[in-house]
Amino acid sequence: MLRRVSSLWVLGLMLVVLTILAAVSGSIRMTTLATTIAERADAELAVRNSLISSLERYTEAGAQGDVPVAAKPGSMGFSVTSAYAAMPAAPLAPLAIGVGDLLPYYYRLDAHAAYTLVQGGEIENPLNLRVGGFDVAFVMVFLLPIIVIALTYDIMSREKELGVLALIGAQGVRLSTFIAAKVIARGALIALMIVGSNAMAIAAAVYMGAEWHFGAAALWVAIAVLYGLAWFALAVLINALGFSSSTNGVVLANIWLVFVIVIPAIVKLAATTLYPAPSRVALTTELREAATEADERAAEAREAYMFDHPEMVEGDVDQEIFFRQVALSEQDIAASIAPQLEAFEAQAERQAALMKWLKFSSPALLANDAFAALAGADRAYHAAFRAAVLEYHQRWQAFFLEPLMREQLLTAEDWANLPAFDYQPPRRYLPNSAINLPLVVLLVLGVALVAAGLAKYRRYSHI
Amino acid sequence: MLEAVDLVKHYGKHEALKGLNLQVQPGEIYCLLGANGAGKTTTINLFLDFIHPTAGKATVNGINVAEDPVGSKRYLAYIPEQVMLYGSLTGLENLRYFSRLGSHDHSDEEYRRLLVEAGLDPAAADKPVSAYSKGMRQKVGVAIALAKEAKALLLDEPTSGLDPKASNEFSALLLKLRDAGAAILMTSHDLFRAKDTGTRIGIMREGVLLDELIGKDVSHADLEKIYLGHMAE
Repeated sequence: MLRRVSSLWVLGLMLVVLTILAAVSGSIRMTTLATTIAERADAELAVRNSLISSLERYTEAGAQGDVPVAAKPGSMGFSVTSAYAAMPAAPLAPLAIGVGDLLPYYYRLDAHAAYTLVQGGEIENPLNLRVGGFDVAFVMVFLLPIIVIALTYDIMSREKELGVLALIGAQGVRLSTFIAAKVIARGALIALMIVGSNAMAIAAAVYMGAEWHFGAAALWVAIAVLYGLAWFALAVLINALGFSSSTNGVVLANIWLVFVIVIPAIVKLAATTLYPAPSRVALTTELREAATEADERAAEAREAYMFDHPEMVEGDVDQEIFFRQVALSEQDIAASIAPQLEAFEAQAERQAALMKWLKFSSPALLANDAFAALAGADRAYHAAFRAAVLEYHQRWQAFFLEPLMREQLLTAEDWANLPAFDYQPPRRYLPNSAINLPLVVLLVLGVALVAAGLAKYRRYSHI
Repeated sequence: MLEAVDLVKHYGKHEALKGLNLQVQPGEIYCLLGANGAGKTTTINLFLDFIHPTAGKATVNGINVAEDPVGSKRYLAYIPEQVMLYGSLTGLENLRYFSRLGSHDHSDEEYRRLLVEAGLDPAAADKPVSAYSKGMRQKVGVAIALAKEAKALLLDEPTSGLDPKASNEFSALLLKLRDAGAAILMTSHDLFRAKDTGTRIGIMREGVLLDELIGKDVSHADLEKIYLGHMAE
């Protein structure tokens, strides 16, 4: 029977092609990001190493002549050198972008204060931000339900419309047995399609450089199968209500629209309305005012310094003095805008906490969050990375500011102790509530819908 | 083989069948005649357990249909007015599918033989049913009954809409099945065909079996006169 239903093969093939295409696209994206950051980091390292070499030559030559820039912590830390802290990719990173197009996946660090990190430019194609990313999670969350609905909207209504149910009923097979067999066969086929397409997508991503992790891959496929089967179960239930195939199609299309588009939009709106982020204008204004005040204080200090050192008034002011002043000014600015930044963080936390519960209002949100968590593209993964970056930034900044404030020069030996970013991201899968809760809820939802459908089919008629 | 005992069926306040009693023996064709709404199709549906009786019982080979629908259907075959099949499958594939649903499996050679026995052109067996005429689909329906080796056949206006030649072929097939020992209950509006094929003829009106005639003992003209007389009452 199934081999004659050409739509099965067409839609199955479409799912496989779209999934693999998304996996390849995601892999290319990840590779491009990694390559771009590596190239920038390598260029930085080359410049730094070259300057350190000149410092070594200067030291070997008995420290004669002008002091090389590599010995000046202020110039090096604030102006010349920087570090790239890139987020290590999770094993399934190419499969889901998640919040990766909103939150930074790398930071460029220097000796400036931490608040300047958020103002760093992204190596990002603005088009991606406008149109969103095409990834396997998108195919699963948005397109898979459409494919499942197309394969299932007439699973029983077709038989009724063809008029074959009477002949089937006369063959001595219980209608409930026939329906159960048909539901199991079609469900198994859909599950097989989902397993196959996702397995191929994961294989493609691994082939293109993603890390293989059996647990993560198995959980990804399990979420996809349970999500697809929840939609299948819904279609089975709608068929049991006895409408025509076209009515079933319209009803299911509307349910898709509500759960995949409308509810997620309402949830996002609710989060931003209940816990609105503080005004960016207010933050910018506060930042400017704090900077102006800090500049004024710096000017006063500079005047006082010049009063004590009149020989420097007409001369070239030492840049290290300037960078010491910058460091002190940034400390003042950081203290001034800390309440605003904390307010932003607090509201973002509240929004995330609300979303954590509101995601249960739609299977699409549940699946999307689980996919993002598995691919290391959720807020938790990014937050852990950001915390590690801030800690790293403190060490990096201290490397330059401590000698700068003590008015010391850096030696070639000091550079051997330049802090490195050796962050290992958290690998939590099944104990992770972002993954196991959606797994359980999708399973319960699917079973409940099938049970409701089969209960309805008890009153299904042959005629 | 087929028996209705005080069979009653109400649809809400409407009494579709008012205490029907009839028996169909093996080797007998019982034709039920009556206007639309007389209760003919309701009777067939009660024997198939598609609907449940309000009172009384329908039995197939002594099995109460309402109590053991699956068991009773082991002996039953059903050919509706329109034999609806899967249009994308061939006649042979439809026959195989429906036979397997009834747990009857045969070789493809046997299925082809049954289709030919049912009167289908051998060349048509491998063509999609969507290209079949109504008569050809009826023949596949008969082949399904033959494959099941059914002891009782329920036919709901099977010749309605068939051309005279196809109708005649179908009647010949029924006589063959009757001679093989099948008990056949057939509803019809076709008095001529009922007289020619029916061993007994029942006339129904408004859920009541008004009259029962022996097919060979009544002429076409008399049957028409009796039928119209009952309808005018």
